[in-house]
Amino acid sequence: MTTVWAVGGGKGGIGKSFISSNLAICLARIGKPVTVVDLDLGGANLHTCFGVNAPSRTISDFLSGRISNFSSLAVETGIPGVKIISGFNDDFEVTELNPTGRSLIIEGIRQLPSPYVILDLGAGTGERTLDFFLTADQKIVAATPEPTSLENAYRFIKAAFYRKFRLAEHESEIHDLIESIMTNRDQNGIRSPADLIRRLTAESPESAAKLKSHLQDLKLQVILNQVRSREDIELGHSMKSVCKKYFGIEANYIGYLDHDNAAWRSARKRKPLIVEFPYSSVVGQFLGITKNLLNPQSFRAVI
Amino acid sequence: MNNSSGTTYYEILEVAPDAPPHEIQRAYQRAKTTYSADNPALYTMFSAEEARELLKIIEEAYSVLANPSLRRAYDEALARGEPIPDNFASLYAASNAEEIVKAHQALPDFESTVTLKTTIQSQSAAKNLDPNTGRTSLSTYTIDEAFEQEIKNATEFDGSFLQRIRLYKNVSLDQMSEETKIGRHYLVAVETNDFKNLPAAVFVRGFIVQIARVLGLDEQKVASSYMKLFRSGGGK
Repeated sequence: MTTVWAVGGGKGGIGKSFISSNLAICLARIGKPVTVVDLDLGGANLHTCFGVNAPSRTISDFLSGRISNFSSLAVETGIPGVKIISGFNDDFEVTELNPTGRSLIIEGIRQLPSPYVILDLGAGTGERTLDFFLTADQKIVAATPEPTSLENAYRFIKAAFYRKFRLAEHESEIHDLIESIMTNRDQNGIRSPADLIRRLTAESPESAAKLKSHLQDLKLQVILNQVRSREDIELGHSMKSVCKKYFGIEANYIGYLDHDNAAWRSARKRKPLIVEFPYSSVVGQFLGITKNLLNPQSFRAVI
Repeated sequence: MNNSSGTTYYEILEVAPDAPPHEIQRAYQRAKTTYSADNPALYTMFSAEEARELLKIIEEAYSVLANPSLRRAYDEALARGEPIPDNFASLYAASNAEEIVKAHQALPDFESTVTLKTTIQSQSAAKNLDPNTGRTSLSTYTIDEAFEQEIKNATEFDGSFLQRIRLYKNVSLDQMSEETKIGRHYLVAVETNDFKNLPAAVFVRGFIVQIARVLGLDEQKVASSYMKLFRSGGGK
């Protein structure tokens, strides 16, 4: 059984591919083979993070039927234990990815032979991206301390939450109840999903329990990238608290990554950071994050 | 976001119910940083006003959980499954003032002169018995049977009625503010039914309970009547 980690976060340029590739190498280094899947529609460039050429076989070939076995898309990266699957050819119409295609990909991902799979999601909050994110066992939200990035991270969390919420609402058959609470949202003092769930708990503890059990697996893992100060580091704790107080969902702040010249120098050289600068502080931080994701029991809080 | 039933102070500070004091301290500092006005992590999620309200609730939670005796009392109330009043901290402090004083007297090292003084005042006031004189913890007044009857039979308590009772009982706004720790402008807003200038319902309810207590009224009756008015009148 494959364990899937997804790295999302809304905004482009915040280091999702950088995080995905380095987490993969960390996993491989501690003896856990991994496949990284580039799901950035139209902007696939994960191969560049590993310094290899664009793979000739991509997910487009799988969807068009030219290649029937999803796992045969995986190509070596030159790093033992890490393979990648490239996203889409530029000539592939993104709109061609209908829900059937989506579930075929998800099925293919689940059947990959490596024990770990990392999904490098694209920017934006499109339905496809959200579905890939929600299917993962570890849902990683990446952000940088810039307000634009935080705003997009929240937009991404919101979109994922509402997609999950609608599914949960549908499955627990409480649509009417929610509708009636929301009709009087002002009188009921509902300003956020957390308020709604509290209100629902008061009106029908049974329905609320059902909804909560559906929402339970929407647990987020927050990574802050490019932090430059103590205040930047603290933002991760704030995001955790906002997730709890606004959505009523759990978020773990699993670590931050320093803003470090080593990161962009390795990017320029098209070499993974861990290979190029194995002793930089960021590599240590990546290892800490990897351990937190692997062993939630021995979670080490960010201080 | 409000502190209606179901949210414990532990949940507000996001700590475990058995969190040691230093964790509560840390969580409080973190919460204060998080909900301070210019934190970029709030941007697009909570408005400045919502953040202010959250901060108030956070302060309240901390004031209870950081105080060992209040925290113990709060834990006991939680364990008994009692509904916790929204302004537990001040209510508890008021209703248990005498017990605390007693406890402090037993342990002279911890004598609290402030609470002692208030009980001594109320005890000396109680000695002065005169059938025509009514008392509050802050004042004495001449009993008017007709008005007493009106208060007793009243089912609706709006701001102006509360004001009439306060004036009848010779309690000034400043005294009321001093005793309840409610800002003077809020007291005025309560008495003029100026709901727009009052904070969220949970706080208003706490205000009314305290005002009713000072005026010697049935807190629950007054609060539920006022809150009905507050909600229908466009309060938050």
